[in-house]
Amino acid sequence: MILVLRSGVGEAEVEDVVLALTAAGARSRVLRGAGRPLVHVLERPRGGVRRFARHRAVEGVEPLSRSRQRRIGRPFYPHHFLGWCAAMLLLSGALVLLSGFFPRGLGESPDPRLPPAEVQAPWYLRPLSGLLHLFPPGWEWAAWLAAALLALTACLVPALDRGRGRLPGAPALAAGLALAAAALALSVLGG
Amino acid sequence: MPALSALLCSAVLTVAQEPGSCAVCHGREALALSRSPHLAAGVGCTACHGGVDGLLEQEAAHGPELRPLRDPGSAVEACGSCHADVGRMRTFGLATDQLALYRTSRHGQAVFERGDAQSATCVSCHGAHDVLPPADARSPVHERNQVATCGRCHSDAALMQARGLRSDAPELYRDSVHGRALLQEGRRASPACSDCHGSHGAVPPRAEAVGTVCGQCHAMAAEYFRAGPHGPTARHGAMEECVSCHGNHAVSQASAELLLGSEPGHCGSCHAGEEDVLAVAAGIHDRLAALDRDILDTAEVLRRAASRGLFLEEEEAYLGDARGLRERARGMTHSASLELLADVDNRGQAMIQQTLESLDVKRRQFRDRRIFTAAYAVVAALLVAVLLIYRREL
Repeated sequence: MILVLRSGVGEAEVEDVVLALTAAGARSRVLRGAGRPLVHVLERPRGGVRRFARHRAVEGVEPLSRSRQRRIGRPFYPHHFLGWCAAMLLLSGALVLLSGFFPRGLGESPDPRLPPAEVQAPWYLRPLSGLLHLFPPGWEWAAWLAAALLALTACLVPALDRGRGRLPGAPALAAGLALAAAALALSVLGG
Repeated sequence: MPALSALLCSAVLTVAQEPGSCAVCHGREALALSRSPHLAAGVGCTACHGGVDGLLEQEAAHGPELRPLRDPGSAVEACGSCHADVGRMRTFGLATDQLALYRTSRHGQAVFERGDAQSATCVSCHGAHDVLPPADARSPVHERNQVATCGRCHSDAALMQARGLRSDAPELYRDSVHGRALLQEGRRASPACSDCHGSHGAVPPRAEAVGTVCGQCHAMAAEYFRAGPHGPTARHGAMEECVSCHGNHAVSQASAELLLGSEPGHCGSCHAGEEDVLAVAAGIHDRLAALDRDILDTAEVLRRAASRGLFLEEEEAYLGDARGLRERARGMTHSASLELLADVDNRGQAMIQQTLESLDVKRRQFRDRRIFTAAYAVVAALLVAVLLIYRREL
């Protein structure tokens, strides 16, 4: 959120706002050069940020618009970290829900009188099973390592963003799509 | 035509590798022989027909010992000269009793005792030059080709009428449960002509031997039949064992309906007016029908549960046991004993009950799984909402 300070406020009042935020447990930074000074609230202060609208030096509270975010940036923690956590929770919730309601595999149901040459994993484990099949017997540890590295890379892509763009959402989306494509390819290749 | 010539030449060359060169004149026969395992085993033209090897002049090649094998008896003796020879056949692991069996058969008796030139000999069924092993699907005596091979004579009304035989047996067999299973569904366990009548010793099963013949496959039914009240009746010749109820060539799918009514083959056709006997038959029918119906209903319940995502291998196995017991119960109907059947029927019902109980456990587990996963999804969705609301404040 952005605290828009009144025009003509002095340094002491700006400092006062920052100190009040710090006292409420929130980091902040002062942005200058765009006419009136702005205070970018980086963490949620106790009691919420909107109560600072009553401060005598503050004219109003605005959300951080995308254009402004593009200009001034936004720290990874907690903003994007929270978004990432929400996405992971959403994904795991959807997967668990689907696996609960659709537990069957993708192939024919097994016939005990005619056991298949290879037992197929349930659909939600097919990517991992496919990855295991890409490695020769005895190299399963490498498959698990590769899976861990793949997941770690996908998770860290947004955090490792060093581009000029200040919207980590785009690389995160690309990483998510790449992970989904890799999962699909592994399901088909290793199936 | 050029292709045929090339083929003939190839066969001629193959056969010409032997000392004799009969193929130069008898190309068609040589071509047929080239497809037979006889040639590979070193049995060429002169082994059966005599003659002199290696001569190209006709009269000299035929020589005084030529055997055209045109009369049936000589053809059989020619085949038997090797196939009844224990020393020669040992190499190939073949039986050597075919000639002896053939002599005892109706076919053999017709050939050797009555000189019937139209009776079947070795070549009638196996072919003359292009003899193939019976296991070869192209062989005329392969189980799927037998009805056509036997039917060449046994469907010939004039030929059969002259010998006092029926000519509809092959047609009846084709429409029977056995014929459809073998010829249409390809189930090789189903009997062909030779499985009941024998091959080289082909004779019709006698009335008292029918049970033994059918019992080769239907062992349980035969056992219960002999132990039941019908066994002694059949032994005394008052009924034709299996044929009395099921027929012979036109065997239809047996069902519990045979126990009701008085149509030919049904219990009432012989036991009309015997209320106590018919009551037992009706009791057996009702138990079998109930078991059938319960198995079908349970199978439908399992099918619907499986389509919802349940893994039901265990329950399918229980129901498979119930189906096995039903088959046993069907076999037991031949004992005509309600007490014997009741025991198997009760066990079948118990297996159905076990199937349903086990399914119930799986259903509860499936319901719990859905509740827990849905709860997790709800908690995850709430957390996501909290995180996003919190992030909006930043």
